[in-house]
Amino acid sequence: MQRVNIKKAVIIAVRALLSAAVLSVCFYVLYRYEYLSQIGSIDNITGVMPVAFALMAAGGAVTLIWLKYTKKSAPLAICMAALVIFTAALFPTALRGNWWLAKPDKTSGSDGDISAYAPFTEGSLTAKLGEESELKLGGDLPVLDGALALYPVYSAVAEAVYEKSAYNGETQFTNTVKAFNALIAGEREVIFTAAPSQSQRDAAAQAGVELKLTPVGKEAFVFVVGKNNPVESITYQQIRNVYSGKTANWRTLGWKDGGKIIAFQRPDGSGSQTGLQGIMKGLPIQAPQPLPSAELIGTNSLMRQISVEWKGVQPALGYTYRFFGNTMYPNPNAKFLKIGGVEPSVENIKSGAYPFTVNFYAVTRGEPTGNTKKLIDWILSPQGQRLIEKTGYAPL
Amino acid sequence: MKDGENQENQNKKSALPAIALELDIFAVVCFFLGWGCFYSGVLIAIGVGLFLATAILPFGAVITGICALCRGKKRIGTGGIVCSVIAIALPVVVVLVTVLVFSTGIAVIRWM
Repeated sequence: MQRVNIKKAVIIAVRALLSAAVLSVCFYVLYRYEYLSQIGSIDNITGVMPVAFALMAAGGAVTLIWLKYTKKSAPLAICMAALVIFTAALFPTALRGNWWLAKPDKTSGSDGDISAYAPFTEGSLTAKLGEESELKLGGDLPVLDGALALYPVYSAVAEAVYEKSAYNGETQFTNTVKAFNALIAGEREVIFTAAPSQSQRDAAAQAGVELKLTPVGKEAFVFVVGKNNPVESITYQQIRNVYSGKTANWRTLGWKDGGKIIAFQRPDGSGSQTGLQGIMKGLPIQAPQPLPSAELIGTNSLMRQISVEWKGVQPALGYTYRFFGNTMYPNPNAKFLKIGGVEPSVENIKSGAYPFTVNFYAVTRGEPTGNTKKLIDWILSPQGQRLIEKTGYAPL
Repeated sequence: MKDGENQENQNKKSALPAIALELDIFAVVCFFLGWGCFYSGVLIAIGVGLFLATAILPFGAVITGICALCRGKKRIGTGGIVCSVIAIALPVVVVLVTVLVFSTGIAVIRWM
């Protein structure tokens, strides 16, 4: 009799331990993805799905642990096992909110015309040094390329340093993604971009190319909304909540009549998407819902999309780099959001008070040599840094 | 006496089909109550709980419906079979329609 009781007690203890382990895993996963600490910021059913799936997987597993297995309970056991498998398998999908059959549109419209910043052209908007450059390069000039927002920088550098007679279109513009590919393929000597994404680092490593990143200036990663949006400031955590899908309504961010947040994203590998990934720090970024109208997607640059009106409100939220938004493609109907009350001004970037201050880099294949090294050394010199500042960016 | 009790038990229909259907109905109720809580602006925590229930209850309905069907026609009757099938099919259809409607973007227009 006592032996039976001991056996029963052991079985109960084992079941209790297993249940505790299952629940611990469930709550750790929810904690890891910030669902426990940000439960109060969830304002939509898509955002609640990961919590529901985790709880169902754990609940199903605990039921299986405690279930009395008889012929009668077989259907329940099979259903519970199916529930555990189904919810656990779909948990990553729930985390990304990627329930859409249509491929989400992450385009930001056309890249726009940057010919106004071309070097050595009449009336070019390229920043001028205003003095004789301490470095002049002729002969075999390094071919430059990079991010759209940094074209004015390397265009100004080329105009200041390259001999006009030797210049033969060495400032290329493709975009961040193509520039990295061209650098890895050996078609460019220097590219100017934000820090590379993990996939770009992987592509370089696979090709046996060591990427050498030399910081040459500072820039702010900014979040942009329509001018009529009453929200002036957003916190770091609120951004993480929006782009991880927990918060989907402007109401939660303080704008009662704003409706749903249309949170634009950029293509993977672009400088600004890499910037967002840096802010999310491993938190899965929500797959954007396919939008119903070209009006909402926009046909031009990201800065235009931001101010699109929809049913009397400007519901969009986007991100870019400050210079792109306020100098290259200024939109009078858009505004930058403060982050935790700090605005992305040059002073705040220089002092580091603005939280999303990032370096931008001259990226080369390994250690730079020859004219490429001379060029980068010059950019890092006081004269080169003055030109960076004149362009509109913050110097190091 | 015992035979009579057994007969009575056998004649007694299982409540599972009705429970399955009720779970579906509760899910719908929770969904709308959840929206109401969010739009009230002060009952957000309750809204999260209701949305959680909206997501979980249909799974409960499907499982209960399957378990009911496994009991056989004798235990649940024709009405029970119909109820169980509806309880299983309803969440599946709703999820499929929702995914289609959101994927084509119609829901954004309606709900914004």
